[in-house]
Amino acid sequence: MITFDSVSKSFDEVNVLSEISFTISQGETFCLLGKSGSGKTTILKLFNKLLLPTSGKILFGDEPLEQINTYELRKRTGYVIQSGGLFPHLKIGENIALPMQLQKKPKEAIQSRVRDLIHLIGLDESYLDRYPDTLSGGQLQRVGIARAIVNQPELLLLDEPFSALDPILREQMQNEFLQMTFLKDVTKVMVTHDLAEALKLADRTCLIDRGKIAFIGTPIEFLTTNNEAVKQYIGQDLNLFRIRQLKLCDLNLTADHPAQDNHGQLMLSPKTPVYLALTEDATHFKIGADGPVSGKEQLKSAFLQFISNMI
Amino acid sequence: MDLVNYIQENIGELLSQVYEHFKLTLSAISIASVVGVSVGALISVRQRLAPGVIGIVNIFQTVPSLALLGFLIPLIGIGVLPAIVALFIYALLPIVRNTYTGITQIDPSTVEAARSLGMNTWQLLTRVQLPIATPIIIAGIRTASVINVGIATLCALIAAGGLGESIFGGISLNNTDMILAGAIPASIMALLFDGAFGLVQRFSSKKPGTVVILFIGMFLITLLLFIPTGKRSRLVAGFNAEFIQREDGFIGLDSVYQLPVEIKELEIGLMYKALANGDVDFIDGFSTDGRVEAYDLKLLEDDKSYFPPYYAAPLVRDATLAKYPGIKDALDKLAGQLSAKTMSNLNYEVDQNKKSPAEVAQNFLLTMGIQSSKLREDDDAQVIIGSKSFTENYILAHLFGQIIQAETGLSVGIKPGFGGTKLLFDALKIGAVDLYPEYTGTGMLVLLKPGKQKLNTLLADRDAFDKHLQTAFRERFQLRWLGQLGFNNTFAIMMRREEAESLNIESISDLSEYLKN
Repeated sequence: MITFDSVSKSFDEVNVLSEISFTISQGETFCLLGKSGSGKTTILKLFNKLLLPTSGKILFGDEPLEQINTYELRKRTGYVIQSGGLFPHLKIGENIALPMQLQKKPKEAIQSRVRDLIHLIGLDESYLDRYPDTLSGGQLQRVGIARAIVNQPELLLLDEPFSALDPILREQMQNEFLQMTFLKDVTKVMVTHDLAEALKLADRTCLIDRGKIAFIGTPIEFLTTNNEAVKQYIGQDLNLFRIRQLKLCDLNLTADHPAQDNHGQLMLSPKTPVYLALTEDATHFKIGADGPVSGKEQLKSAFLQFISNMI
Repeated sequence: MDLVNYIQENIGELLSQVYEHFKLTLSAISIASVVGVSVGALISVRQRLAPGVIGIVNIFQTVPSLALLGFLIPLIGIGVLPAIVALFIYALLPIVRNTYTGITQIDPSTVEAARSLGMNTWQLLTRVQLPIATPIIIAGIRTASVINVGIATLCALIAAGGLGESIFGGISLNNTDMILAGAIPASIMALLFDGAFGLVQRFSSKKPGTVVILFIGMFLITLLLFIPTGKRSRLVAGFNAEFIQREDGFIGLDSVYQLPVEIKELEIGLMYKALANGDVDFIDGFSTDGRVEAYDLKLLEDDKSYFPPYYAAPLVRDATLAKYPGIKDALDKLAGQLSAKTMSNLNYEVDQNKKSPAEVAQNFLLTMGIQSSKLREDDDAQVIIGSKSFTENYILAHLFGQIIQAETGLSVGIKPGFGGTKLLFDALKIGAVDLYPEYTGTGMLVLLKPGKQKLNTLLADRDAFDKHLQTAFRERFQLRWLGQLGFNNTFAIMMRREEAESLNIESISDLSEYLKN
């Protein structure tokens, strides 16, 4: 879907990004993780030509990015920023409709699409006539996402979408984001500095360190790698560090019989006993009183959910 | 209660002044809003232009308003047009600056969000930047409108009408009610503009689109205001506020000669230039003004002897004379020394040869064999001399001061340029100045204001006139007139020589005949 091939970017001869290469496939959630100043947001802005690379090549599908008209490209791309980036002088409905209006879509089509979206993000139609300053942070963020996808973009760019929210709301929004099934086929690229968020939401996470790619991998690969940069990044977070010490992937557990298998049982917290089963072919996973879960996908999300709760 | 009476008696005139004032302010603001917002938006897109443009607009703002009006006369004449141009120039800075600030201070992430939706520069400007900046832009227009209501009062001085006519008329006529009748409506108008735009400002953050409708509305009203009404007379008169309002000015002149004519109000200093430029066809000049010669103007003969005598003389406080008796002897040396021709030449030296009044006074005293030195603007001097704000009065004030300094050795300071008889006379009464050059006619008609019958008897006998003047001033004000200088600087109706000759007009009666036909 999107390929970066040795992309470098410098501002005033100062190198900000060097030799960035990766490929993102359709429908994937791809996180750009890094400390502030690492260059992760710069990468995001290359996707929709808010910035242009100094060297290297970016492919959108099969097309080189520089051959796609900038305004066209941006209409095919949704963009969500911190606290939504809504325009204060427009009502919620007008904010969501704006990208379609810019494309001169028929009025009826816009109206029905906006109504659909407001329900999809879990708000009712009375919100359409309200102004952004009357909504809570989480609601603003949801509206921001609705506006970004109103034109059914192929690519959704999210720049620290949840970092301005308080911790409880942030977690709630992350969970909602995971449940937004209408985003399933949209390729999502998210910038974050929050490792737990990346592990929870991303299919793959790319750690950026001083303008270079330090590591790309799935959450589990992240937690098990011996890569020094990753270790250092995780090392800042004590809880994650402990999980690493447990070498989760090496555990060969079966669920439902925690007491019987000494190798397979793992008690992570004395207060809420948790029994983990995780092997290549694991099918069961149990967390506390939530009851058993099964199936690989469910297992994976329950696991990530669990980890993020731990952090 | 005099104020209420004054307003009741002059309500028609006042309402038309309010209307003219509103028209000037609103039209200037409408044009300045459109131009100012466009320029502000342009320099926010092309930021390299911003410092230069704002600098230029800033410089315009620092030009004193009367100087700007004077500067515009040779370029676009007198009347409503230059007034609107001047007001427009003053309104520009707050609007341009607020538009630029309003746009550039928008959160960069909002602009980025807009760009990422695929907006081009024009869409970004019209759909995001201008709407978000609207309250700040309106604040700029609000400031500009309040400034403009104030400056518009000055436009009365270049025949643009408005409430300034009452204000300046009142200052020159020593009529406080008249000043208030002009000043109070002007203040109320400023408050109304402020309140109206304040209201717009408040709802504009949510409904910036309606502001566009407001602009269009303002423009339409402006256009309506400019649908021409009434007809023009064959010739146009340019008179100063004092002359128009005074019983012994145009009102009396009209009753003696009958002059059906359109009148434009003009500031004294600007009248001659306006006449020379052809903006008006005749003015009420002073017979000794240096510009009569410079612009080749023709004085019309006062064939019915309407204008009273205006002999110039020093008007001094009794208290000052008691303290420094030498002043009288010094000033009396000037008595009878200045003929109309001499005074006119001195005025010419200043108006056309651009010499300073001080220098001209010094040179004149040399011809009398008196060595003198220039005066300082010194409040601590022993004797303070005031002057009105026209050339002849400046020269006379310097003349008086220099001769006192040379003859008595007292230190003399000068406070030049009082903007009207009332202001200067009040300053004399309270002792802020010790003396100034005044004219007998003004002293009688403006300051003493005798009844009509009494006046007519006095005008018939010059000795009785002077005697009454002297005794009345001593009794009522403790002031004394010293020796008259010799020339009679009376009002005179003057035209461009060329036009007067082509129309065969020699006297005011000829003018009346011409206007009546």
